[in-house]
Amino acid sequence: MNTYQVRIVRSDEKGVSRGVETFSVALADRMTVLDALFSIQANQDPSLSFRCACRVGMCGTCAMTINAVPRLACKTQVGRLDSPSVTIAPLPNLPVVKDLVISLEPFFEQWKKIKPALHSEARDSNELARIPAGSPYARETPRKRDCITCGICYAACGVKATSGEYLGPAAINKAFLRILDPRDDATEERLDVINGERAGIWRCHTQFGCTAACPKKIDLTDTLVRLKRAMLFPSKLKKLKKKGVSKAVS
Amino acid sequence: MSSLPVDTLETDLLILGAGGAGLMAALHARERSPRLKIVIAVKGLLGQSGCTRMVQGGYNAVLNPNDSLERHFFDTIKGGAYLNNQELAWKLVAESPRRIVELENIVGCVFDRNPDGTIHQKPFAGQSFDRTVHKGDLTGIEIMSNLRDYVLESDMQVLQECRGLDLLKDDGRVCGALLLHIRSGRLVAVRAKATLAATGGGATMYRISSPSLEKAGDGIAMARRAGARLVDMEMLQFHPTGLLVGKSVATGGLLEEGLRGAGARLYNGLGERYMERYDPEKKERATRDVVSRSSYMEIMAGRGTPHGGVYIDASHLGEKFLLANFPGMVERCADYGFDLLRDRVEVSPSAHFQMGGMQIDAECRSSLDGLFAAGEDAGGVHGANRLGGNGVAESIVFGGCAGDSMAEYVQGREVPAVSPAHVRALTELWARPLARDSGEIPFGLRKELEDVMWEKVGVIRNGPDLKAALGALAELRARAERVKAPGAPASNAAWNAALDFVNLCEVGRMVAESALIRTESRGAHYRQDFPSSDPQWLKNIVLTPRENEFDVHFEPVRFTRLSPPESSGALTHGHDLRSH
Repeated sequence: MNTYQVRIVRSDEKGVSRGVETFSVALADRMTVLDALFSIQANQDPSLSFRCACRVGMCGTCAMTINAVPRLACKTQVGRLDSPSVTIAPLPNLPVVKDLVISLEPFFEQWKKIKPALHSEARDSNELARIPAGSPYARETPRKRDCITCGICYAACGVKATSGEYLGPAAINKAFLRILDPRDDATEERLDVINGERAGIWRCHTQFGCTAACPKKIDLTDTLVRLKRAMLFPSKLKKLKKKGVSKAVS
Repeated sequence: MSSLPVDTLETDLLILGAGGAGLMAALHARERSPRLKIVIAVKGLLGQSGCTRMVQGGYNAVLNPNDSLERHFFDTIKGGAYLNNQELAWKLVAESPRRIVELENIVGCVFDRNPDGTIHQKPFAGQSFDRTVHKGDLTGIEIMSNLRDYVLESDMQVLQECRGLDLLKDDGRVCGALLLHIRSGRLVAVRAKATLAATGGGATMYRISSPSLEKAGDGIAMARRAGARLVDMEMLQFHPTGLLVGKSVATGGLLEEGLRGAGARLYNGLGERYMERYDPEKKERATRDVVSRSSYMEIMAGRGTPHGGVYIDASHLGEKFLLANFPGMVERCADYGFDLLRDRVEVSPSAHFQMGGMQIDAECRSSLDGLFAAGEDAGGVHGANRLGGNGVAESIVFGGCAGDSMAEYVQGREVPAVSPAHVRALTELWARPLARDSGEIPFGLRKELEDVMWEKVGVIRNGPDLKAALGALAELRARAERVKAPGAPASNAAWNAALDFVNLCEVGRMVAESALIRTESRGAHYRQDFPSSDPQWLKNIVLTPRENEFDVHFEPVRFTRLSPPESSGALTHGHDLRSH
């Protein structure tokens, strides 16, 4: 059986770097990077820390930098890396808690700024919004709502690397979804945040780092570009939002 | 023994678990009484932990005028082989439509629409109407992301990566819980006027299983130790189509039910469409218990695939249809090197959902004062088998119910006192692995437990195997007393594995004990030595913990709304199975 060299960037429980350690792992059929980490933890070093919940690409907690690319460990097969060894490091642009565990707190601090929850004056309505197939929300949002808040776009963003204040792609994407949401009434407040000079959307340099890295293949750059255009031409902004309700529950 | 530092916290409501049930409880309590203090403890990250997040197919609700609550109720009871608590099942069905409206209008979800903009509902196995609401084939992400955002904008206190160790008690009443903050290694004693257990079930104790890996039946195990009554513990559901991905932890991850609903077929290793033999009428659209058992019989008879499963084939549905309707499933297969669009894919029954749990009333109250349960921590709603799409509906409906009833319960109550000696004793108990110099490291134990449960308490059971399993489980539990978890308490994976292991052993023991008692086959529980359903067994097995043992009693099912058909034949799947 082939063995594989797994190099892991380690830190102690205060997040202080302990350098790189190399482990040898027997390569099993269809083994993912996550499998390799479990194997190292169980058989070689129980002190190794990483996060995992669903292990099938839905929870977004096993994001890490694998051979210099931020991605989900559960969706990355070792055999497909096309490399004799794998180097694993925690996601950049976020504080390290221990080993491969990062804190997503800065990510969610930005996320909260754009008011991610629904703010609807019709929140007590018994009717469901009518959202026809051709409406902007139905057309634009289904794939973009699959965000799993893994932090990968935040880690892959060249602007984010130098600006702690920038909202980052995921938060702006969430704002875009609410702005398109026919039920939502907080567009103005969100636009104020997104328009912010130091933290807002204009910091984006359209480098496509987020789109290239997103494990859910969400076209984040498209979101950012559309939103920028709409903000420059308020008539476009109005077209994004179509209101209407239908009776779906008796 | 040097004691670990224990922080303290006081609150009105303590919610253990932050899947659909936990967060919906938080939301309902907040909407009802905005000034309540709410503490949510979640074992992983907020909104990114547990199984609601993993829901693929969707949420059953009667929304179409041509459908009816009675039909949904009938499907649920029939699917549950008449073992359900009918008042709980009725509540599920009756409140489910209203909660969909809340999920959209208050929480902010949007489920898929028909071309005209009205809500779309798709077919699911075991149902007489297309009533499953969904967001593509990844419905759980839509629900959990939006619930998370609601909580983020509230002032609730969220303790992330914080697990329950034990419930705190005073004079028979539950008054909070002792928690472990996994990253810091610090303990937190939370005193609460009301406590909700919504941590999820223990299906992860099986070799092939679908749930999120951090789940370990913590709530049910803590309830057992606190003395709460448990019901239907023998009823554990196997989903028919868990992916087989070699030794990868991805094994057991599901391909959703909607695929079979849409016409995907199952074949054995010989290429036979075996469901034609087991259920000629419904074939692949039979309920989960029937399909899982049929697949298992094929595999055991030596007609399995090279990796010990069966094949699911969706290729005849066409690439365009699959990409439009099941993009998440196509992607999941591709991640592990399988082609759902063009090839057969190897799948196996996968331990999925715990129907049993704490006995609750229609207000989500457990048998212990101050303790509430919802989601998989509670039993009774689904009887002997759960319909696809009723799981997330249960979490949302009963989570909401628990939030309402806890908000009501805490009115006029004081934060209860907890004896420091009680906290100290529990702290010392759970910290033992940290102090041991010798002993096993617990990672390997989990594998042994999974094998025992899979082989002896699995899809097909019998008396001698169950007895052997109980012996093996007692031994494993004893070994758990001697494990070591070297290193600091912060981020200590071995310690956490040991804590999970103890809980899974306890839940596993209850499953095996109840399975041994039920000498018939019904729903998900199939006994080789008692292959038929027996009308005498239309009763629930209730376990009341006494120290380390259980008092067992039986409660006849109360057919308050629907009686089973006269002949027991309608209930049995034994006949089909024995003929092959």
